[in-house]
Amino acid sequence: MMNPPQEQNAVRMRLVPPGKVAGAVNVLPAAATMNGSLEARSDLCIRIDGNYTGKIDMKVGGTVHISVGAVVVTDMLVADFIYVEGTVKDDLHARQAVELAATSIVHGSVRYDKHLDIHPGARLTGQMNGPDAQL
Amino acid sequence: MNDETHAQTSPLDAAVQPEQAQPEMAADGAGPLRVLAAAAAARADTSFLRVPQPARQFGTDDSLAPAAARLAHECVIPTGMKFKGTADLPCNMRIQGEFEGKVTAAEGFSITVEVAGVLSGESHATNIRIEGKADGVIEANGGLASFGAKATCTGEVRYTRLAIEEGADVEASMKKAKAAA
Repeated sequence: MMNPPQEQNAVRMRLVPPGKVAGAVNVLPAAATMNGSLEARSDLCIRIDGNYTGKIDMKVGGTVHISVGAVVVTDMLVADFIYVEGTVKDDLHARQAVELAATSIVHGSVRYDKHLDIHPGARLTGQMNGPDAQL
Repeated sequence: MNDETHAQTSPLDAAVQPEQAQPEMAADGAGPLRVLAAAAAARADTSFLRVPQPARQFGTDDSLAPAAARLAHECVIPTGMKFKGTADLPCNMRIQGEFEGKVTAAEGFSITVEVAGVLSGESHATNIRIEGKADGVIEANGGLASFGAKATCTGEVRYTRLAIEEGADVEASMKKAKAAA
């Protein structure tokens, strides 16, 4: 089935493999609100369009796509891949890669264990910790 | 794509304009810093939590987007995922994984707990369909509460219309609410 928004993402994404977000499960649609903690024990890909407050812990693998218009306030967001187009406050940790798209606004600390991509236009305030943070 | 696209999306525009607008500020010692600060102020919008405008660079035709958005307008907790907390939804919800806490779907929307799904806590929606496990307060005021053949339910069920399939294990206190006038 055609899905234009995701096709557009596929063209605009540079680092996170587009296949990772293509089959995303829409956990939180636009205008919806969730407060609490999400935990996944299998390799899932989730998309967040609405307002989310709390933890997101993808224990094994996992891709989190925070899309345009989404607002996520989290003290812990852990996944293999994190693709941000929306607004995020506080801690992000990607075991593989973080990609901040042109529309993203990130306040807080970002930790990535392998790769990082920040598009022109992204707004980032906070601390970055890369793979060599322990040196 | 073309010159127009480049002109629209150049990230340097915002930094350059304030400098041109206030050339006298750059004359004293802290010049460069002030220019930077002015640039930041110029693009600082009302609050941090504003909704960013999508930068559509490839294909600005969004005519198909609303249809796709409607199809995708459903909250899904997939298998393997557990959510604890509260959810406030202007859409339908489908639980394949685990949900613990309070979920409220807006009027006219439904909550479905699939065979592998587990719902505990409070749930409010117009229609609630349980095919998996459910516990707690299940409130389908003004609508249909239905239980599939493999459903297990304990707690309290409030409904206006009720359907229980053969084989469903429902051991809950039932309370019929009047249909909304």
